[in-house]
Amino acid sequence: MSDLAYIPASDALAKFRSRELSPVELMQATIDRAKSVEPAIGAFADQFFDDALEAAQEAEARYTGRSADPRPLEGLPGSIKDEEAQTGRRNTNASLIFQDHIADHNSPIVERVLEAGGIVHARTRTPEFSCMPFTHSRLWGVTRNPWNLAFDVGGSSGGAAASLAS
Amino acid sequence: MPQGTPFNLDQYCHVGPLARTVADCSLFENAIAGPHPADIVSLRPKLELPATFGDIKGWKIAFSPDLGAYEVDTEVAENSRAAAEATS
Repeated sequence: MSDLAYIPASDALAKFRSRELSPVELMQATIDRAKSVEPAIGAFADQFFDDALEAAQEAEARYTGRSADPRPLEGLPGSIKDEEAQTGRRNTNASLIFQDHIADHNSPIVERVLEAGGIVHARTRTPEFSCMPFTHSRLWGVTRNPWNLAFDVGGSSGGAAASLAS
Repeated sequence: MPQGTPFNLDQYCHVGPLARTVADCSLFENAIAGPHPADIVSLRPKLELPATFGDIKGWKIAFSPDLGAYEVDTEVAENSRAAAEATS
């Protein structure tokens, strides 16, 4: 397995700027890693890998001078907790009541991540309404600890932690 | 760190960056922090974190594996203590 998916974000930005690394390569490595550990971990509610690769190509264009200047998080992959609204994306809060709820706005953190050029490749699982210190819901099932699948991963940002640790 | 409703009505409850290094957390934090009209208790002016941090040697840091109230697996407690001691 390549270690590319584990590169610190600060190092990735430096390599994007010096053109040693493309945001497309990093996104592909991130997606490959996610696919190799799922569904055993259960970190994600929804994933948008095709959209993320397309966005990474746009980021690459910014670093190679074919588009506007790169922004502070340009081309970095990141997930957003399914508690936070993103326009056009499903926002379930791990509740059966909201399993088909599509957000009509961006929450502040999503707005700023997107404005800074970050790419949201997935939405991560939570307990229902983020109200428990573990990550298990009737809608999404159990999110497991990547260090030991017999253990839980804590919560409420359990999917986020599991994704980062995988 | 501003947050949307309804979560911002609990003032102890906030979003924040999760990353693999301190520098990455700082980078992420600086991109998302700062006052926002959707959150009336978001801090102003924006707090900017530095990209690098000095040595923490000599700092006095409190460590409680169980906050005096929770059951913690022995292995988890020992690993957490070892990690804390590595900073001294």
